[in-house]
Amino acid sequence: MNLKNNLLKVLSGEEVDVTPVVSVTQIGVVEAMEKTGAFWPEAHTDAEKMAKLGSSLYELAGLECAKIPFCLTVEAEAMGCKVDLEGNDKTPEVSETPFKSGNDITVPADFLSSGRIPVVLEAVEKLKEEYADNLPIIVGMTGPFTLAGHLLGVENLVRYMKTSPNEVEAALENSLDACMDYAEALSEVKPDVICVADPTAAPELIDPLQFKSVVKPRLEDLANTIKTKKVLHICGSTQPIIRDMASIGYDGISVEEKVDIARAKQDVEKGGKIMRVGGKTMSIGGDSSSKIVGNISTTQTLFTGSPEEVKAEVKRALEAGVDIVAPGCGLAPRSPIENIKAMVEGRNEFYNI
Amino acid sequence: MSYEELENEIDQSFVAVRYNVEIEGPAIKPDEDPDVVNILPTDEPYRAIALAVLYEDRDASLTNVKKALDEGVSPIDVINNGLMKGMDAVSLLYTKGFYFLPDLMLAGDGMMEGVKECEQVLGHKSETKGTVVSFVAEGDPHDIGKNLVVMFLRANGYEAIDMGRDVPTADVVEAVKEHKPIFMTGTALMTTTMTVFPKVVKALQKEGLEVPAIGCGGGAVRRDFVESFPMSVYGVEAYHAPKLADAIVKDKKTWKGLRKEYSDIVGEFVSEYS
Repeated sequence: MNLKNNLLKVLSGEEVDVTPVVSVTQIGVVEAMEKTGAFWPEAHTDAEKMAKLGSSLYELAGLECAKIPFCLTVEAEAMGCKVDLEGNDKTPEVSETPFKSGNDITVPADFLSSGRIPVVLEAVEKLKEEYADNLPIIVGMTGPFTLAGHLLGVENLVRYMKTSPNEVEAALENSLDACMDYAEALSEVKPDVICVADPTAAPELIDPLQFKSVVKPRLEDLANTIKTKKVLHICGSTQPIIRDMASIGYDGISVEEKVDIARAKQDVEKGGKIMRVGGKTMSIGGDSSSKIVGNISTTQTLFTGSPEEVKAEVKRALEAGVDIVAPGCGLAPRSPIENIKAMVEGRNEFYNI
Repeated sequence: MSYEELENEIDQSFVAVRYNVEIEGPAIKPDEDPDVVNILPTDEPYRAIALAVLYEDRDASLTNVKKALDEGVSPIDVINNGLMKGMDAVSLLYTKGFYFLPDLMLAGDGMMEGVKECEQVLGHKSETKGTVVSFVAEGDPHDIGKNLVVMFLRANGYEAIDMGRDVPTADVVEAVKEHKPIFMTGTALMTTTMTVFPKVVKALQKEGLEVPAIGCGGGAVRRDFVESFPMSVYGVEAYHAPKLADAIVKDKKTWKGLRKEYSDIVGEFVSEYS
């Protein structure tokens, strides 16, 4: 089976014999770092090591993709934020931002050559050299709302959603500019899939109606600049926004275990094809083309559960109709490789292969 | 074909699209929700005070509270019958899915503004039911959840020690020694950092320290994980924190009891505990 074609077929809406098992989210785990010698924090800043760790779970556990980078702070750092990269079992976090208000945010002239953006681009090239046509290469990037949260502070941004719409507009427009520049640069090095992660837009943080009116149009603009297959990842209880996520124009939507896959499937069907009316996205009914990616629990099963529990959860997800099996969120760095293997094995057992 | 039959044939959800209109549901005023009506006080000045909180209006909240205090209303009554009722209504609407996190934060701002004003008149903090220590797990910079927990605890008359975010486990142990809290809360957004909770418990046990319960909650945290080590209880919502603390103070509950009777203690159906 050609893993790359298999994944791309699913995302194009074609039938496949075997559901792919990939990850569109963070996949750096400590056990794999020890086995490959590509440790954090070096793997965040060194393209060679990033590529090595990014493909480690394919090599060690049979996961059917390579995925880089391992955090959502690449863009924020290139915009001028301080990022704490330290530690080999903790994901990087933004520690300081120079921005006070939405209008302050500007995309630096050398944005695309700043911070770790060149590292990610180079790592994609390296992975392509190494795995050429068999292994799909998935690159993650930050969505505009989450980036705006990094730049202004999530708590501030969430408050502004109710108190200062102008502030939000300015912050989002400027963040979106950065996202679009980055998406274009990524598209040029041609990974197979770009996954936009926008976890700050989850219903835990903002009103689903505001997701629709404020965040969705930006995610749509971003989708239009991505030239590869694209997946939208939002963690949390995204059930109320599934329909909106599925009608933006992403080939896949990635959700976590709080979402009921069977219900999500129904919602996606209601999502409908989209058309643009007066600059606004409108659903015109019919089936949406977004596929559902997910939703194996990274907190319970993959991290602290047994391989048997992982297999059982994978089978449940497949029965419920998930289109691509994947962790519901970024892997916890202390997750055992055994459990990632079990994800693939669970799928194999489901199909008797 | 009758009109009723025809109506059933048409997929109504897309009828409005040709007019570039989307149906988003009826507009209901927050104070008209039947359950909120039961919570809100009907007599002034409490109603106005509660409504300002419900409508997330910080300035109006402050003005109303000042006015009531000037008129000689007892600050304790202003807090308990006005501000808190407003916040109860906000929590309720949050549970029902009408309000979201920004609403909790902004209504909380309005309420805390009023509480501060009342405390000034009292000349001291309103009676303290007990001391609670709140921290964000080591390595985790996400503190929105902890801020809400602290706000709810303070509003309910607890002395909440806010240890901030990314708190080293050793500091948590020191804080327990110093403050001897009746309850603790630990929050974590990330799967990686929730592993700090059992470490905190171990560190406390090593020092021979004990707290009646540590409420653990946050984004990635799940009940099964929290119940895999002692001294802890999985906290589902931030506004449950004062109710758990009340159960500890009034009914001498410990983590075992809190786990068993969670839904009863917080007074609502909690799917995580069913």
